[in-house]
Amino acid sequence: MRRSLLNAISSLLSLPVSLLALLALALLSSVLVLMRGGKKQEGLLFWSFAREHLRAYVSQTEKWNRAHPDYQVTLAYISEQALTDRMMGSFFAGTPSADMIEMNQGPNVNAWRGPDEATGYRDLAPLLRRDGLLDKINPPSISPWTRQGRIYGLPHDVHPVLLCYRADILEAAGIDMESLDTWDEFFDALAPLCVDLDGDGYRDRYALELSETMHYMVVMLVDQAGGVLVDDEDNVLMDSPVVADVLARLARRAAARDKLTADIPVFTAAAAQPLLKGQVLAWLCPDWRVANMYDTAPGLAGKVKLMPLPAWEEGGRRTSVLGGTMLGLPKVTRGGNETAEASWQFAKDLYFSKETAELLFRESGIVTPIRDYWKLPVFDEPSDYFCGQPFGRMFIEQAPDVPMRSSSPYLQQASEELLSSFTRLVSYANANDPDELPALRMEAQRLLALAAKKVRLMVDRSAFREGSLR
Amino acid sequence: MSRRRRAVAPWVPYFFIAPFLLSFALFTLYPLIQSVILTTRQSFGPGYDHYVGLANFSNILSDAKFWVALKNTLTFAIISVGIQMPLSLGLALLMNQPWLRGRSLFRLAIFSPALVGSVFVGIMSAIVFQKRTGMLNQVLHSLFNFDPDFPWLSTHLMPAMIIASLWMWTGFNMIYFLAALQNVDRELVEAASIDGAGPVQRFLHITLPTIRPVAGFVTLICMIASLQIFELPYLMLARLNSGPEDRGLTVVMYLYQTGFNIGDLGYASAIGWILAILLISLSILYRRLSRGEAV
Amino acid sequence: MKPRSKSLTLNLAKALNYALLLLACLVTLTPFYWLLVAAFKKSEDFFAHTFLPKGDGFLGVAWYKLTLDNFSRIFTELDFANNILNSVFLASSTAVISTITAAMGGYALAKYEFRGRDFIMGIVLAALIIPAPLLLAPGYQLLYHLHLLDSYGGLLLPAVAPAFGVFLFRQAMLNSVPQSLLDSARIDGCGELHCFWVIVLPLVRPMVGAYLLITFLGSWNNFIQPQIILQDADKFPLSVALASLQTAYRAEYGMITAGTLVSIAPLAALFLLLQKEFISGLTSGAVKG
Repeated sequence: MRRSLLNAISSLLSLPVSLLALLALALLSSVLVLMRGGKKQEGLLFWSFAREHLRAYVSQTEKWNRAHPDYQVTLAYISEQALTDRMMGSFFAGTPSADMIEMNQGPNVNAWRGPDEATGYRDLAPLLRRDGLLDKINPPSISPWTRQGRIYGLPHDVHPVLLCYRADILEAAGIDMESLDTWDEFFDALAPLCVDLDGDGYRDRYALELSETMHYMVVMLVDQAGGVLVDDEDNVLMDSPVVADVLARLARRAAARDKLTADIPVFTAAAAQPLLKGQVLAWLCPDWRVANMYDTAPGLAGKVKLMPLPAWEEGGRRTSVLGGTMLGLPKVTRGGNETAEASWQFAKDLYFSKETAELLFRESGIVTPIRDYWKLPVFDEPSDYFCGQPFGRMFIEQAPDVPMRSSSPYLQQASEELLSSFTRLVSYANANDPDELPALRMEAQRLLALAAKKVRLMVDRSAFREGSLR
Repeated sequence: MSRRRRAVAPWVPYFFIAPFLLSFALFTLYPLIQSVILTTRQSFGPGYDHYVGLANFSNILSDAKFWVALKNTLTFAIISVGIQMPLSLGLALLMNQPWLRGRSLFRLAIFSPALVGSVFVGIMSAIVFQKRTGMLNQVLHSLFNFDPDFPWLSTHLMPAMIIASLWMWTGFNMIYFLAALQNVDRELVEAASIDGAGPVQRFLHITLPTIRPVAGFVTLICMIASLQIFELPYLMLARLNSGPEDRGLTVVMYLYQTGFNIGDLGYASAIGWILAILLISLSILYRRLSRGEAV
Repeated sequence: MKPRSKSLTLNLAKALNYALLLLACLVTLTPFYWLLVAAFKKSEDFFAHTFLPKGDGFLGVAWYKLTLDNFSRIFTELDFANNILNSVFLASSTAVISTITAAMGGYALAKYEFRGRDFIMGIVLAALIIPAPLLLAPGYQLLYHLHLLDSYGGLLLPAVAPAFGVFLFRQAMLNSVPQSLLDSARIDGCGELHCFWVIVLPLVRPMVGAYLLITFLGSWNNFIQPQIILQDADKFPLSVALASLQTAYRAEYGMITAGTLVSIAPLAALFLLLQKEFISGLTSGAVKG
């Protein structure tokens, strides 16, 4: 016995040292991984991709937890990409993830790309009707989550968009921003300020932030004009004259010859630098961007103001919409049916409470989609950051005008194709006369037709869409 | 004492090869067969699928996104490998001078990016290549008054990807060439030099023929790896999209997006097969070309 | 006169040689320097200065603006210690398991005569050219049916005895394990398994070291498999955890750079310790293949 043990040890010692070292490391780390064990998740798990949302929920969650010891809710922050991956992964694998998922618009709508029985989220429409909650919500807020009569999530926000501008620079230059009613007036008025400031031969100042890498801004401006990319029935409508007109007029301003738009990585700390340095004079600002600006650009306090967006046509819509969050309840949960009703209760209490409406606005500047709460005094408080403007009220004034959006899972592809068409159009404008608007419109129309064809092919490819089931 | 050779029990070799055979059968052969079956299906995750016949392949043929992905991938592989090979060889030649001091320090510095996987390089590149705020544009602007708003991450994704890949892999390939240069006959080089052969002639007539087999092999390996590029552009674009006009879309990235973001494992398998056929024909072509050469 | 000008050109050539190598080093090392500095910067300075924040401190650098916050945040706000453990666990287990099984396979193919050997060798060679992306989708489906999604098993089992490793070890065994040694060991009553551990593995020591390192490196840098297979954040290795920090609205650049630095530091340490094995491992495929 002892001999064989000795033998085993001596034979181990003859092995290469590197193997032994890694073997030891592997054993040690396995022990640690095993000891860590699986943390058993008790109660209800709530995921969100936004820390500032969760901050607004803390006090109500504590209240709920005191009243419902059997259904303790845990709030967890998960970065947006991880949330998308883990949510889709669990839906595909049929494994439980969280009991409640607060997810952002965008690629997440792929969740309802398949047949309804494969959609990971419960249809909340019956519950909303049962509890008489549907009429309380601002209709544009619920449209992105409504698919063929099913409602996959509670709407969290309205996200109206205003124009934020460097009041200090523009007022010093004698420009009366409030008088600029259309985008054309806006660009023409700001163009003289867009110059090379340090003499290195490159322009250092631009009128408007307009990302050419991410589609958000271009899509938002198309939404403002009333353009529709894909409707709820997955009809691809992006090759309309309205969309072509917006692209053409934007491309004229984004063309290199007299470039007035700045392509910066929107919403990131990197994006704050051009705003802080005055390289960008104005930017599109949905309500949630307020918190983002407090965070990444505190130096702008007292230097910026908000105003309704310039319209595409005289008398046109003065706002748009960007982003959006829903709270969905996955079908597969660890607790099964037992916890399903508790999750709904918690979700409903949270999203329809006055306290959330107030706290959310205070934490992040986000305006509630529950119309009854729009008259709350909190929205009238003046803000020092925005030179004393009551920005909450300004956002709410635009809230009823926010455009309706589609819930189509193909909206994502259409948005990306729209951006590609825009990039191509800018190259075309660079190669030709950017001020020849009719020619730009024709080219835009041609590019959009190609883009629409691509998206249509993708829609037609789907074997899961209702009506195309074999 | 009789020194009789003990017979090896017949099961012994099978015992040693068993882990390979089992894991091959389960995790390579079975999925390989399954991937053929999957090409005839459209799925939403692994749980839901429909038989669609050959529709996946006919859809791919008319799928502009796939063709853009293929074009990007080929462009990337050809240009990146095309620049990398001479650059790596050049560096190896510089490193191979007998009088060079600090060789291991140079080697360490030039090789070091190869340790950092494309995941981490991709994540870094998403920041380094930003316009205005990115390190690259800031350095180039201060050195050469380069356009501070040069759009690496939008319209010029391809050059950005190539630059990042050169940074990652040039030093790595240099090591291969450096190893191959050890086989060059020094006496022959000296003799040629005494006979009046210049450095260019010596390189063309002695060095190059010696390292040719290795160079061919390294080129093949690099092409195969470059044609499967995924993490670099995917993370460089912060996983958000494939860049304007899909300029950052590669074949494997498209495979990943269709298979795992949208959940269509059938379409992903069909893309996988097209890629596989491309790569396998490349290997066969290489074998044809290098037949007779000792590698 | 003539030899002198010749030595002058020679010296010039040498200087040029050094200059080009230094330039190459500068290009390869600058991003590392940037990363190192960026990880210590506060978020407001992150983009304000390319490298170190300028100021009136020593060497014209505002040293007081540097901070360790990014590092403390990745360990407190994120679960980076856990991610490091997961990466170490996955990389070391993958390396050990696949090295032992690949060495076993290579040994069988190199040193035994048995029925089907040539056929198996054919399989190994054929498996070498199957591109990994082809198996992503069906492999995922297989793991789904085996209930191995979101488990380490789903990552470790497919890594057993890869064809590439079997092939490399077969070459190494052919070159450096003399048959006569095995024969005499058998005569001395050494069991087959014992023989493998005590005689064969030590003989291919360089290959073992090199292969361990390349599998460790490959697994450490692996992204796509854990990204697809794992859903529980507690199981994420560094690559996946770090990539999930990239987000549309609020990229935490400080944490991302600090995290990248922490993720690549172990590899750098390993490389400095085992430079020879690394390089021979990485080139073994080319030179011997």
